[in-house]
Amino acid sequence: MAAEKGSGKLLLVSDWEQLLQDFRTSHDLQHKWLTSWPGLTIIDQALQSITKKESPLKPQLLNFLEENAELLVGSDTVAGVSMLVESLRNILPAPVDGSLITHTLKEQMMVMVTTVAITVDAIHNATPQLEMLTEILLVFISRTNYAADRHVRATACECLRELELAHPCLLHVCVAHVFALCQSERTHAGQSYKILLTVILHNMACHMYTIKSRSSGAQPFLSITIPLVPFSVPPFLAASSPRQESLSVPAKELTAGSLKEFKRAVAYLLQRSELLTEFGMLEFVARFINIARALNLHGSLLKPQFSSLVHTFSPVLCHVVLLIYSQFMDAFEGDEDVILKRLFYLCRETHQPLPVRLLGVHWLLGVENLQKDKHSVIAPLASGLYPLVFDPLSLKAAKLVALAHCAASLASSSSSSSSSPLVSKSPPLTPNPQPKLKPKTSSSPGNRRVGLYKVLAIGDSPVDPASRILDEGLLCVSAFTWLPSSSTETYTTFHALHKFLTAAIPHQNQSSALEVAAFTDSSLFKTIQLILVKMALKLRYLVPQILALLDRLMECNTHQSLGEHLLRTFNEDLLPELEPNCNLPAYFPLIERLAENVDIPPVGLLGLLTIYVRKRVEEHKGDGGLKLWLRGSQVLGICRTVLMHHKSSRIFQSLSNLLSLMCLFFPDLEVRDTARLYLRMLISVPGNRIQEMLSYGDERVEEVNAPQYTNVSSLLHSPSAAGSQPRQPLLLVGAYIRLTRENSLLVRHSWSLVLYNTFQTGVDGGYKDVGLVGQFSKIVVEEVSEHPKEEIKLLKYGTDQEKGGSSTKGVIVIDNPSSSFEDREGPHSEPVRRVMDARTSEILGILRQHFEEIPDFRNGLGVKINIRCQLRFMGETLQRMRAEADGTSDSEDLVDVYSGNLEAWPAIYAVVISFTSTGLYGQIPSVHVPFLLSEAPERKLQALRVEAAKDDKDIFSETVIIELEPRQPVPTLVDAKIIFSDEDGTSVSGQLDSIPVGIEDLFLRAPVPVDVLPHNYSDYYFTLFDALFEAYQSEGGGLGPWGLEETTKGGLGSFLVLIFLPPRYHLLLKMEVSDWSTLVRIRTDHWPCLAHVDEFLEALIMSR
Amino acid sequence: MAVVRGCSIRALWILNHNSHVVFSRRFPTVERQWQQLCENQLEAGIKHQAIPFDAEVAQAFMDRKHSEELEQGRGIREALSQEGSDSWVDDIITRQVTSLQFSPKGMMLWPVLEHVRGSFYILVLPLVEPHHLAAYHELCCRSDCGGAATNHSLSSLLLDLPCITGALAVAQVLGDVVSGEVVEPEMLTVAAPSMGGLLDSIAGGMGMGISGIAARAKPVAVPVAAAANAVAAAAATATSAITGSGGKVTLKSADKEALRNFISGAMPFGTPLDLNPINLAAVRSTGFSSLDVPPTELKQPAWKPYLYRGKQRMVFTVLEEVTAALYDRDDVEDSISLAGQLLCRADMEGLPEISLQLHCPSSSHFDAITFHPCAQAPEQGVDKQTISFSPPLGNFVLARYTALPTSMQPPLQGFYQLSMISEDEGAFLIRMRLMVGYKAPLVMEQCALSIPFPQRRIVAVEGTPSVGTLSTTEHSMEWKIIVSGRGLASKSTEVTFPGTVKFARKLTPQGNGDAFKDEESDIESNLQNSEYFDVKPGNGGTGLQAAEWEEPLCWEAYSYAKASIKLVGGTMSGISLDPKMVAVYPAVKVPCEFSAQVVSGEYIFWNSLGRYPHAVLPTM
Repeated sequence: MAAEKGSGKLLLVSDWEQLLQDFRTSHDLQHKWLTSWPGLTIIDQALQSITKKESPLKPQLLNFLEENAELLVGSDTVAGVSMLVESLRNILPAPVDGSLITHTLKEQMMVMVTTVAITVDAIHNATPQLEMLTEILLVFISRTNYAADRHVRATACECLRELELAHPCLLHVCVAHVFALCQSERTHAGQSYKILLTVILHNMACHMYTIKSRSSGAQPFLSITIPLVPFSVPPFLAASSPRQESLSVPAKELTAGSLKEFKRAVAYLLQRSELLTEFGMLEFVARFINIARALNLHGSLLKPQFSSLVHTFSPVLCHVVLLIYSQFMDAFEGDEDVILKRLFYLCRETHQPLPVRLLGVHWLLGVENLQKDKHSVIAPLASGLYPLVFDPLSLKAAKLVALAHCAASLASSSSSSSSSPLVSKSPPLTPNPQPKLKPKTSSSPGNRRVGLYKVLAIGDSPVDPASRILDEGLLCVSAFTWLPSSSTETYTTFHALHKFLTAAIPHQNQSSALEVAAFTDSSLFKTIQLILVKMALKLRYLVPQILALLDRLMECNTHQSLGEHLLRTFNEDLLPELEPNCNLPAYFPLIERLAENVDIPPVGLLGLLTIYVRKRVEEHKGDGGLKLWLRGSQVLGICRTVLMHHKSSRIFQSLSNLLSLMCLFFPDLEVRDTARLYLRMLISVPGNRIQEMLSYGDERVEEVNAPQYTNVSSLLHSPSAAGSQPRQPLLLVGAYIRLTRENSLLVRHSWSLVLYNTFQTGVDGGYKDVGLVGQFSKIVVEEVSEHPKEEIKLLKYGTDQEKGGSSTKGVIVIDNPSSSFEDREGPHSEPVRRVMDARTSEILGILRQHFEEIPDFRNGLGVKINIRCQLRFMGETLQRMRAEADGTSDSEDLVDVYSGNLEAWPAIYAVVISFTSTGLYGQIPSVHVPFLLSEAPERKLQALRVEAAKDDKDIFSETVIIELEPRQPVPTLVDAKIIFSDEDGTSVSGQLDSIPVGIEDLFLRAPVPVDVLPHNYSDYYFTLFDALFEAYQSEGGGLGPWGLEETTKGGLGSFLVLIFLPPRYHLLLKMEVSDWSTLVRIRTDHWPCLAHVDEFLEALIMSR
Repeated sequence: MAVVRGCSIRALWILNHNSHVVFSRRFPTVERQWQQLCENQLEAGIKHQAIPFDAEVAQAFMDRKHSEELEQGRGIREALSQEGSDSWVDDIITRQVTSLQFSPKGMMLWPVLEHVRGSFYILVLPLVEPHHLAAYHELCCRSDCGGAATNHSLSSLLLDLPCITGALAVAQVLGDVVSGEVVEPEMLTVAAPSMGGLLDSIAGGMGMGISGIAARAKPVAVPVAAAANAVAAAAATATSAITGSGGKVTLKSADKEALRNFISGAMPFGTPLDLNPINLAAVRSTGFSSLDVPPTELKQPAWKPYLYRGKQRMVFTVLEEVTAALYDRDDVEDSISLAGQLLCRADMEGLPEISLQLHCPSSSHFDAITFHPCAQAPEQGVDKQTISFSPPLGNFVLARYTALPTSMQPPLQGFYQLSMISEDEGAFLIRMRLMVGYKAPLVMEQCALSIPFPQRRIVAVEGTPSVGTLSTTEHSMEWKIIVSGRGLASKSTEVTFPGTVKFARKLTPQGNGDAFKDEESDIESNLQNSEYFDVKPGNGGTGLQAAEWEEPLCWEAYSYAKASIKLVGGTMSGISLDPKMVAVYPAVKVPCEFSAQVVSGEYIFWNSLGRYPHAVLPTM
């Protein structure tokens, strides 16, 4: 199309469509248009399309101008607004032709121009144009009762109202005219006149006549004194700042005279309000309430006029009444019942849309909240809120929430007053005062009432009003008792239960212990307890839901104590009811929660689990046990929780019973292993240390599954990982600080656990670091993997005898899974053989001399062994782990930190490594390393190696020597805990990989008396060997002949090997070597070591 | 003290089933008020931000849908609920009164009224005060356990904010306009074919601005379903939206035009004034002429823009809907309730005041009679209710009520029994008595029973009903007891239908060895073993879907027969009015008709041998 008026091309319909769409899409697209088309040009073209042409886009363009006026007008407010006002002025008087000019167009233009004028702040930026617009509108509305354009006049009133709303008191000088017009208009447009008048009066009352005055000066603002036009913007508004207009309205005195004028207007406004539409009424009443409050009018002014609206079926009108009620409650005193009952019925009316019925429930609760005196107005009518069978589930849920509130307030009031009647005393609503239902309860006694109790087969229904509401209210969703637990009914039930539990103790206040105590004493709470217990008992698939409810309470500051109460209830009422059968696992999550709770003694649950495990083990005798793996792991998970949260002294007996049972008899190997581990922790880690472990929380336990244990058993995965919550990723110290042996052990595929638990604080054990209080049996748990076991008797020697004399130790030797615990009471202190002959006495002499040489660890002089280890710090790994833990979003940072620190050569300082072992290795001195440099990163490693090679010393690792003083010659793991300061100076602590100690570490030379000269050593050893060999002969371990193709010394013949096993044992090997096999006789005074020796020899062969 | 506000809309959006915004409207002057409020109430801590673009709103809406779907579409707090979301508030109304969150901007729009109609989502955002928004925001972010103990403040918010109620009404009307279902309630009338809506009296059915109105067939004979809909029209909107009436999927430009026209007429500046789309359409299309003279003495109500001119007459119709849960058990009481409405059409010249007396027998325990806003109910007497009103144009609902017809037995009584005699075969017996105790002129025009088996496929039904015809579909049996045409007079009749129903073999995915199946719960004491399917408690194992929140129960889990009934010639409640007693002021003689009809809503016979839902009846 040809260009017009020099403003570039005309926008075609397709252009407009694109433009309209783009303006709704993004700022970028808007600006794209505005750069090629000045905003005013767009307005101009739009106006032309709207007023001059048959355009299919008219309504869109009008809306477009309204919504984007600010953007289009930009800084040219005067030009823009005058363009618009001008075109409105042209259109309004134009005759309606039905096609181009219609009443609708006039209305829409008016609305559009007014909207633009308001949004671009014409009052400040284009005051004359705004005045012109106002004048146009005022003149237009002054033609009251004119037939044809009545609706246009109504719209003009709306425009004026909008201007007055945006610029308070803009029209206050016109109020007399508007008042007159309002009285005069008789068509349906009257509503708009009336609301316009209301808004003007509203602004005058709220913003202008704000100074209370006793003077009687008259301000007859309702009398017409000046002509309607010309209109000018009041100077105070012109001087105001945008959107702060109301602040600049000058305050005037509300004299008796002006109050009288207001009252006159108000009286007029209140007339014939039934002529308004619903929304007209809402707008009118909302404004009117503000006027009434500003003028201190009494609410009784509104009440008679509007309170009957509550009986309409329009929700909007009901809300209008509620609005008046909530503002002027005094005026409704004594009549609240009418409103309340209307709301009760509203929730029940099936013709109302569901959201309206939901709103009805909320309004009831809202009205309840308005009651200042804490006196519940809805609780007495609670039974009116019982959900109907065909109420939608969401409505049921909402009603149950309201019922919960009723129950809570009844429960709290019943503690003060003896009884409160459930059924309303107040007369029912129109029109029939009779009771509405067949008197069902009158014929049947209370215990035959239907409710949740009956469905759950609990017994007699509760009688107190609050519990009754719960019992009867929840019946409507009782299908949860047989529907899948994902059913909406189940959700609704638990939603409601939570409300019944919490409604009495609001979040707002800091709930006092007193409040909680009052509620937990109430019969409502007891009812809920009973329901939950029965629910758990009968509907075990609901346990997760019950747990979720519990957790939700526990996580809430206000209601935590309720959760604790419930937990105790479960412990006291549910646990004893549970059968230890195959259904028990359904309750494991609940039991886990009980186990976590420090205040609940876990004896009950451990007992239950013990019976459960015993039963399952018996049932599955001979079974592969695979099926039981899960159950075993779950039970262990609970054990772990108990271990973590409870004082070991309290749980020792029951937990050790359970764990021993499991590590002995459980069909699944992994479960047995883990049980053994836990048992070891229980037995060996002293109480205060368990507390310490507690403070490290789960980190410590996570590490049970961490690398250092994997060399123990690859099967040992987290037994309860499935059940436990996903945890924050922790940076395991063990992953970037490595403590490794210099010489690796031959035997690494298995290990044995020997626990000599001598908890006696005492004299002879010397295990003073084991600080557990109390006397416990000595437990020996011995397993010598797959090797044949034989009954081996312990040989006792003098030293043992001394020991045995000091205390009685029950030794439990468990060596046969089919037998249960076997207590071998007694000291095993057979009398030492009497010396009979010279040979014997010679032997005895040798032995006595020898044993005197052996230092006594009880004097702190025990034989020590050293394990050399290397400590390395891998800075690179640490950084990678940190970056990963921070999340992927920081991948850029990762590179920075990473490369940055490459140069920085991270180091750790003031490293202290402390060691712990099972107690069989005494106190292990800790090791201090002042400074340790990180290992070189991969990239630089090559170059650095060359450098490092120069001084032949690995600068990146530190040799650490672990000094052990064995109390028993058994392999073990030494746990290492590290504390150090990192680069940032923060103290880091954690667990390192444990250091395995093998049997070969314990192979020492026997001590030689000082008077034996070195060249006589072999003689001495030979004599000693003989003596020992002889002494051990009677009960010598009859291990089968072992084929050894070679011995270390090579050649044929007999070899004798004497190994001293600290602290005071011996291992004697007599090898008779022949061509293809070697017969090895082994004798020892410490039979448990044989298993390890087996393994060692086997590994020796394998390694060849 | 806070300023009391009416209802103003900041913006509204209509999204289609793909969550694309197909229509949107913003109201700049209301937005300016919001900005002003934000600036004046700095203490509320709400910063004014412009309303986001359509695409952003669509995205926020989808995000919300997505996160609520994660929570299984629920409005209550669950394990997956996130702090800051609606479901954190833990109130079921947050399904309708929602918030939209714009995470990058840290902006929240609340309250956004969400109304589903057909395949459209209608979102309406009314203006509240910043402190209201702040209060809701706090509710969303509380660290406590939520629910009743905090909900009170949501209740108080909802009580303080009539704009939410208003916006809900706006959303519902927009739904009507969008779906083209702008209709007046249909009248029951014997003859007069001209008995249409308001537009018929004003415009004579000429082409209207709203396509839905123009397309509407004139109501002459009212089908029972339509009548039932009329009764439950409002209630149905919620559910029909879910089931989807297969209506429109896209908005054509004519529809948008209709929407724009409606909005510019009903709420030119975002403040609704009159939401009657029929009135508005009439004003827009017909306008006013010099013939439309304003009344000389009286003022014309805002809801009646036109005064009727022509032949005068009055028609009243009572439509009653009976809802019944029938158990056939000694220990469970049947529950029967009526929801009725009195429809009126008064073609009267001028602005007359009509008063009439409704006869409401107290034996039917009427409660909650509510009225059209134009009506006053000055007097209540025993068995009587006086109503006076100045009628609007066209058909309108004058009054609504609910009642419990204790003196009247339900029109269809009896039992339905189904017992599974094998895995795939059930024996059933239905015995019904019709119209016991009903007298002329009440006539049963329609009576059918439908027995759904949503979880099983019917292979064959053996057995013949004593009367009527049987038809089966894949998942249900339909027994037409009264074949159309012949109405059943008031004498009572007994009908029976014994038979067996065979189902296709069930493909049961066997349980995956869960730990809980080895011992059945002992809760079943009150339930029989004759379910036609087995509902095993616990997760999975059955194909039962959780019921929608808008449904009253998990229908599929029960075995039942649903009746559909239509009675003409009277009401069950006994409500009636004497046409001769209708008074008009200024006095004028006008012919007056009265008719009545009863239809069934949920009229359910629960399998006497199966599970049944129950509830304690409210007493008030």
